[in-house]
Amino acid sequence: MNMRNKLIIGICLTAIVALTIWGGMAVSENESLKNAMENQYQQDFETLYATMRDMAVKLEKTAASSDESFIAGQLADISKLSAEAADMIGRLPVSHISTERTVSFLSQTEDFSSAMLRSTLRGKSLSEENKEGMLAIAKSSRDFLDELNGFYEQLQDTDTSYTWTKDNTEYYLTAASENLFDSAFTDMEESFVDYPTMIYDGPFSDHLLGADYKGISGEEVSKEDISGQIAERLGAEEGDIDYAGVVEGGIRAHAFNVARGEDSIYMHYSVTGGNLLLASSSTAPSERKLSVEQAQQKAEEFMRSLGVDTMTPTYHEIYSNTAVFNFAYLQDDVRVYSDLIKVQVSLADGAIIGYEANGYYANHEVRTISTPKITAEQAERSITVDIEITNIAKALIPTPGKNEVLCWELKGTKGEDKYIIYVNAETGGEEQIFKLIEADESVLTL
Amino acid sequence: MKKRLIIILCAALLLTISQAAYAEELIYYGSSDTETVRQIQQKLKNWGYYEGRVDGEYGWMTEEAIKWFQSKNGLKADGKVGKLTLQALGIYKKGSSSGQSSGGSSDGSYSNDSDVMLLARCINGEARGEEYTGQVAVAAVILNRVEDPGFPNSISGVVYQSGAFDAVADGQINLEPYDSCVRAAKDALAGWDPTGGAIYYYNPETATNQWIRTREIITTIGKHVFCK
Repeated sequence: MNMRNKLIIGICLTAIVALTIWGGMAVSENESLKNAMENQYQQDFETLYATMRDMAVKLEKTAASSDESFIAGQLADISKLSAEAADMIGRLPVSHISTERTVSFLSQTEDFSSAMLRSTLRGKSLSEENKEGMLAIAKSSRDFLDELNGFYEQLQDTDTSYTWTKDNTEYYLTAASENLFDSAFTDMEESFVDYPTMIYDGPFSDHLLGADYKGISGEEVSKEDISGQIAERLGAEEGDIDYAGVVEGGIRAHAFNVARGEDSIYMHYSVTGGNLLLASSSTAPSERKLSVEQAQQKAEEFMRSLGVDTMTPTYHEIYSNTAVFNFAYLQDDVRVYSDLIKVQVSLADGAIIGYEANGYYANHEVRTISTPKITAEQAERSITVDIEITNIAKALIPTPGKNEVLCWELKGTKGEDKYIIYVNAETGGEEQIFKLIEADESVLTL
Repeated sequence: MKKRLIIILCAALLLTISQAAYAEELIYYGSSDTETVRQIQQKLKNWGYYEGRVDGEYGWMTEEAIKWFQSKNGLKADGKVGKLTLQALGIYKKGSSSGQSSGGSSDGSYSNDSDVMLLARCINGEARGEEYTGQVAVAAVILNRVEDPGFPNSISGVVYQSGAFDAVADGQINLEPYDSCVRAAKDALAGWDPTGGAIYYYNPETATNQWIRTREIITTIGKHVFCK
């Protein structure tokens, strides 16, 4: 063999050796990656298990206790643990479709325990029903944990029959073509079938499912009738009005797209009663000429023209040459915040370019408002922190569970900061506190 | 001749080994700026580029994640985080404005500028070709999910939930948003919801996920169908 051949063979051998070394390193790095990921997920799994188990234990303790302070402490922990567990699940390689029920269960548990904590702190002890609800949640959690443990053990056993598969940007644990975590979670969620119906003052309370829309009444209106209304109101031609079907979420509505020159206006009208629920313009105004006061007048005129009851302005913000006003229903001298309407007015020419009244029509009715048990002066005196009160009015505010409570609304300042404090007009307790942020000419509520 | 052969062979071997070694050096970069590395890891983890621990240690996985991010954002994909990459990540050293705080509390009533921009960028990535109402609709779905017990409790939690939005998975969320997207985000935050409370949406012509097609439809806006 001549030199040249030896050289070629030599280089090839070297290359092969080098590639083998390099390939070997890549494979071992892949193994490290796999190990690192598996360790991370194992840790998340174990933490999830421990967190939910602690949560179940504390629920059981709470149900067995007669000491308000002890109960309050446990409820605060339960609230925190359920939030942590929900977060853990978010970190596991399971698609959000399979975990929705589990996360809902945990969110509702967090919500429920917060609500129970609030009422305990106000001196209202837990009812037998509440305690039974807690035991039922604890049982569901334990059933879920048994399943979780079973799945975990299954993973330990079948060491060689699963792999990590990449889908988009996520790594999923799969056996054959099945996503192991997903199918396991879908099975585990069966434990939540017997979840108790929970009714309490919170946003996820079951009493809010199937709530009716108090402000909606009357006959069903056809899309032709509404089309006619739109043509008249906006001076639009029939050809410009495009029907976009029925919207089947919330208040049932007919949707329309109306062409107006360069602009296009999207609208919802309620099927029952034909009330304007929503309007939105595709183009923002190009300049700013009107004052906020002028724009507000236009908004108020518009609402009157729709036959809406007396409304009072609560706050506004300005962006894209548009003034966005928030109005609350005013009954006698009480601001009813649940009945909310928002109006967008163009600061170029005063045209109404946006409208939002779903909240109003969902909640509006004439209420029987009781007289406050404490006076405005008493409410003011109860504010012992150093805030200078500048305005006091009566307000009916929604609670987290969408009930309503009558309050004294006290607006005040502490140095540069502005606050709104709601004092319960019956008990004198503080229901809510807002700190105002004013940016540019917008008055935003925090 | 023999000497030359040996030299060439050694050079070849050294080159290949040094390649591997060089790669090793890059892989185990080992930056001592643990604070910045931690920030980088957290952002990359949120955006789905990085699956490892957020521990401030610039290792193998961190570098891969950075390279991927760089290639998705038109930067030189060399795993080295310089000024341009930091900017793209939205990490600002002391002395410059930050504004990267996450908004949202479980009371649900807090929103700020970074929420607006996050929503706007998500709208931009998901629906910038859609009509204006379609853009407000995407933001409304995100806000509806924040309120829904089955989803994370904050705007950033919902936007970055794994697998939830294609625009997050493929990096389109990092583009500068059109003005209409910013306005749409503000309208949605102000309470405008053209979707009637939807928490899911999909394009019926391109969606491959069969499960989502079983959800109850609320309405159709542009190319998207909105569901409960």
